[in-house]
Amino acid sequence: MLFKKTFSPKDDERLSHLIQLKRQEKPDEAFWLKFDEEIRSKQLAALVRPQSWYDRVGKLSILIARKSAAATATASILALGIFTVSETDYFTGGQTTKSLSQTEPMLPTADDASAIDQPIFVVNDLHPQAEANEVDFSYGINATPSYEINALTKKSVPIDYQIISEPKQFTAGHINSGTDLGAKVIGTWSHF
Amino acid sequence: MSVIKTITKPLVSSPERRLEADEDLVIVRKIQSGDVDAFDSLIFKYRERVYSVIYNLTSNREDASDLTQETFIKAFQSINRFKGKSSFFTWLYRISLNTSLTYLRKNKLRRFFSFEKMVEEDHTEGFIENLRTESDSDKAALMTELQERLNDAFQKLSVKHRTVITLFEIDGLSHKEIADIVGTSIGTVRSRLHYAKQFLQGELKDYIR
Repeated sequence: MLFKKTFSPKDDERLSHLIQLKRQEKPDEAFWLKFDEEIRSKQLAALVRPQSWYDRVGKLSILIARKSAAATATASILALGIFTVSETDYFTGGQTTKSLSQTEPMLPTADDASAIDQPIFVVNDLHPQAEANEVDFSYGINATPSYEINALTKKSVPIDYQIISEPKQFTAGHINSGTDLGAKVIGTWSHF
Repeated sequence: MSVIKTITKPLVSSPERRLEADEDLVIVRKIQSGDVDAFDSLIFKYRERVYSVIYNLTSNREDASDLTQETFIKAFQSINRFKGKSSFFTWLYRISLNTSLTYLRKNKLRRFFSFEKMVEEDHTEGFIENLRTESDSDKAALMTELQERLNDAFQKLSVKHRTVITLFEIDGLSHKEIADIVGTSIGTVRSRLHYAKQFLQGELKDYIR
């Protein structure tokens, strides 16, 4: 091969000088004027170039997600609301069952169940119950006892009842005031 | 491992290069923060060097012009991805090389000339001496002829060897700078340079001796 022939360092230097003559191959000013003009228009085109398909798909996905965020949130709130409303009976029902266990004397029997379409009351003594082995004189013999009533309605016969109103307070001797709430008084007890 | 180190190390082989790299980085940061007009100064600063590299790889003025523009547009479009790990100069040169190589692969523009034809042609010794003694018009003609022979010889080199000799002899870059740009080791650069010089000495022997 021709290029495998050995060359002296001087040859190497002359070759370098020869190659460096290529540095003289420079375009004139007119070339650069045209170059600047063309690159300017290409630069502007690059600034407004159409996006690639994957860029567009990505941005479209983000846009859809953003646009549907409000609708999704509304739907979620509605669904949550519906769920909460539909499950309200369940939650309050559970609490009522406990209250009823404390007021067993007021529970209607299965025979009465059909008659209990109207609300009834659960009456709770607001004074603390005395322990079995001690007597509570905190409110004295002549003190007027206070009671708390809850309107109840039937949920399922015979044992589940649901509290349908906030507790109302009244004092002994005015028990009929309970009927003001639209309830039928089915019994009174002197001691609670 | 050494190759990776070479590629990732910043190209700042001299104080001048370091200063140049720092100045470029300031301009790049401006562009990245929205001042797109600042890119014009980088075009103005590097257009001739980038054009020179591309022209010596392609040996075609029109194509070199288009590819130089394409290089700057690519750099402009991806300037936000420039993190400053290498100098802007190295980064831009890599883009120009990749653009040129893609173009050469696509267009298969490597022209191979008949060696016999070149030998048959009458290229007398003392060509460079003639350049000194001839009139201006003759000088221009001789220069044109020499440039053509040089270009032809360059086109016979593989793209890898042509790239290395262009960056070293015409652009004046160091072995390390070339290694950073090409993404290879300094040893490989030296080896390619040696091979390319040997080849060109054979091709241009009439002008050398």
